[in-house]
Amino acid sequence: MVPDELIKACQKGKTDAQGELYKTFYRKMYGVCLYYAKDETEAMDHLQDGFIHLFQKIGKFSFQGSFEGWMRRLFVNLILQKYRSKKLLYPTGLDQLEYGEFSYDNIIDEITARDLLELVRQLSPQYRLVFNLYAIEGYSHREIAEQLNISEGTSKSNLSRARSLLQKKVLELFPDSYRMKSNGK
Amino acid sequence: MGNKEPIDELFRTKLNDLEADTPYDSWPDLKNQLERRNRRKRIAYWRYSSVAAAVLLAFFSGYFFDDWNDTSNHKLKETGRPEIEIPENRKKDIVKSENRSSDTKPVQEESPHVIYNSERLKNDQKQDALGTRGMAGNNSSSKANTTPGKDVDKNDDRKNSSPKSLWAASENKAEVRKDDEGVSKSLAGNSEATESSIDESAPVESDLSNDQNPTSEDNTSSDKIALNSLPPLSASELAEIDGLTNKEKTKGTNLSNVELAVVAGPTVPFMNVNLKDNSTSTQNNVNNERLENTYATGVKVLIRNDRNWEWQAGLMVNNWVQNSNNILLTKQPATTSSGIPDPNNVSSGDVNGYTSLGNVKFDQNAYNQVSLTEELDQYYLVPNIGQEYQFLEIPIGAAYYILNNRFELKLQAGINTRILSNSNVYLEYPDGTTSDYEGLKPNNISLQLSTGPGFAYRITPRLKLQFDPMIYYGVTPINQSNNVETYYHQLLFFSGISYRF
Repeated sequence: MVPDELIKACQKGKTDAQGELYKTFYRKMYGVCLYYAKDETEAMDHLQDGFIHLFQKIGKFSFQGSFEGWMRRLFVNLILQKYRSKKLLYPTGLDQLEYGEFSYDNIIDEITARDLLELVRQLSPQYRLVFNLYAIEGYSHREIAEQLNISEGTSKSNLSRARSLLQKKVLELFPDSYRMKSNGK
Repeated sequence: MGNKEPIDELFRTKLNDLEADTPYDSWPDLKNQLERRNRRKRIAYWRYSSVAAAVLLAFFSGYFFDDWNDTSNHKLKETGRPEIEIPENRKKDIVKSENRSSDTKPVQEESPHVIYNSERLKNDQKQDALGTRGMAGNNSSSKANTTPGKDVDKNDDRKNSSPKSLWAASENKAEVRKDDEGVSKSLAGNSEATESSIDESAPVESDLSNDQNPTSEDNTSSDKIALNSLPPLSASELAEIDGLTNKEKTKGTNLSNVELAVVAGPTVPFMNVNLKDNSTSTQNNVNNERLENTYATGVKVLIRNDRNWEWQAGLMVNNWVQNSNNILLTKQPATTSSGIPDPNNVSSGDVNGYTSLGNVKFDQNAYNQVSLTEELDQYYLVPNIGQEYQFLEIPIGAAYYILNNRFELKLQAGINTRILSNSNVYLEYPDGTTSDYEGLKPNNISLQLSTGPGFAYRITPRLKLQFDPMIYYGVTPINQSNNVETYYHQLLFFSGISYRF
C-alpha cells in the first residue's frame, strides 16, 4: 500500500518522493516489462520510459482504486503505444496448431518464471502482446482489439496461435506436462 | 476474461506477480532525465508566461496610462500628427473670422498640420494684458516689432505653424502692428476705445504682420475692428493647446517618441563551417550535425528620431539547440620528442575528432562510448552529443519607415551582441540515458549583423501589433577551435506588441 502523502509529493514533482516511489515499484514494473519485451535491454527501456510517463501523468491519479493497478495499466498502455508506433503489429492468419490436452499441474513447481519468459519472448510481438494482454492482464478480445487497432477476430486467432506455439514449446521443455494428462485419461 | 486455458493459467500464475532486479540501478539516469525535462518545462513555461505577461502588461498599461479622451481628440492623420480640436466657445468666432479673412490667408491654408508655438502665444497675451500692445502709436515694444527684418524672421519661423483655430487671434496682431506704424487711423481709434478694458479684451498677437502678408493690406478697417472684438483664449484653453502640442511633438526627447515592444517568435538556425583541415572525419562530423528550431523572446525600446527614422535597442533571450550524431573519432597521434604530432605513433589512449564547435576527446577503451569502425584507426562515438545553449542578446539598430500610417512598413538593420548565458552539453546514449559533457563550449561573446523588414498594424495610437522577420548573420565565429571556424546564423520570426508612451 503506497502512502497517499508519497503520491501527493510525487504529484508536486518532489524528486525525493519520486525516488522513493521508484524504489518501491521498480522490481514489479520491471517484471511486467520483462514479459512484454523481447530482451532485457528493451525491458529496461520500457521501465525507464514507463516511470517518466508515470511521473508526467501521476497528477491524474484520483486516489480511487489501487495505485499499483493504475500504474501497471499505465505501463502496459505505454508499451502498447510504443509497439504501435514502431509498426511491429501486423495481422496474422496462420492456421491454429492442434495439440492434445495440456496440464501444468505436474510441472508447476519445476518450471520457473525465467523459463516462461524465454518462451513468451520467442513469440512475435503481436502474438506476445495479445497473449499477455489476454492471459496475464485479463483484457477481453474487444479491449485488445481496441488497444492494438485490430479486429476481435484477429485477436482471437492471434491468441489461439500464441497458445499453440507456447504449448508446443512447454511440451518440448517438459514433455510430462502432456503425457501425464494423457496417462490420466 | 472469458474461458481460461491451462496454458494461460500457467503463464498468469508464474508471470503476473513477477518481480525482478534490474541489471543496473537506473534511478540516477531516470532522475537525470526527469530533471532535464523539468528544466525544459520551466524554460518553456518562462517563455510563454513572459510573452503572456508582456501582452497583458502592454494591454493594461494602456488602461492605466493612456488618457483615451485626449488621444481621441487628435486622431492621427497620415502624417501621424493631430488635428487640434477647437473649443466650442471659440468656434463661432473663428468661423466668422475665417469667412472674413479667407482671402487674406493663402499661405497658412496650405499648411494643415502645424505645431503652434503656444509659449509665444501666451507671452503675447500676457503682453496684451499688461497693456503693451493694442495701443495706438505710443507703445515701444510694439514699435520694436515693426522692424522689418525682425518680423521676417519671426514669420519664417511660424507662418507654417499656426492652427486654424488661431486665425482670429492672428488677425488681431496684424492689425495692432499696422496700427503701430500709423497706417490705419481707424484702428488707432479702436485701440483707444479698448484701452480702458485691456484685461478682459486684450487681443491675442499673431506672427503674421502685414509686411510679410501683402494680401492683408486689403483688409478693411471694419474687418479689423470686428476681429479685435474676439475674446482672448482663456488660460485653460492655452494649457490644453500647450499640452496637445507638446504631446504630439515628433522631435527631441519627448516621451511620445518612445515605444516599448515585447517580441517573441520561432527561430530557424543555420550555420556555415569553414574547415581548416581536410579531414574526412571532420567533414562527416559536421555533416551529421542537426540544428533544431528554437524560440527567442525579449523586449525592445524603439525611439523615433523623426518621421522616417527610428533607433532601436533591446534585450533578448535566444536559444540554440544542436545535435551531433555518429561522430567519427580517430586515434590521437602521440607527439615526437620535439612536440610534433607523429601520425605513425598512435599509441595514445585517446581518440578524438572535430565537430563544428571544436574537438571532442574520449578514451578508446571506454567501450560504452566508442566503437571501432572497419577502419582500424577510426572509431564511432556511441552516444550523440546534444548541445543546448541560451544566449542573452543586445541588439541595437536603426529602422527607416517606408509606410507610416495605420499600416507600417520599415526596413531594419543593426548589430546584435550575443552573450552565452547558459550551456548544457550532454552525451545521449542509445538506451536513452544521458550524462553531462564538458568538452564543448561556444565563445562567450559573438556578433551578428541583423536586418529585415518590419510590419506593424496600429490598433490604437499607442498600441501596435508587429511582425519582424529578421536574419541574424554571424560575423564573428562562435567556436574556439583552430581546425574549424563556425558561424551561427538565424532566421527569426518575431511577432509582438508595442506600446508608445
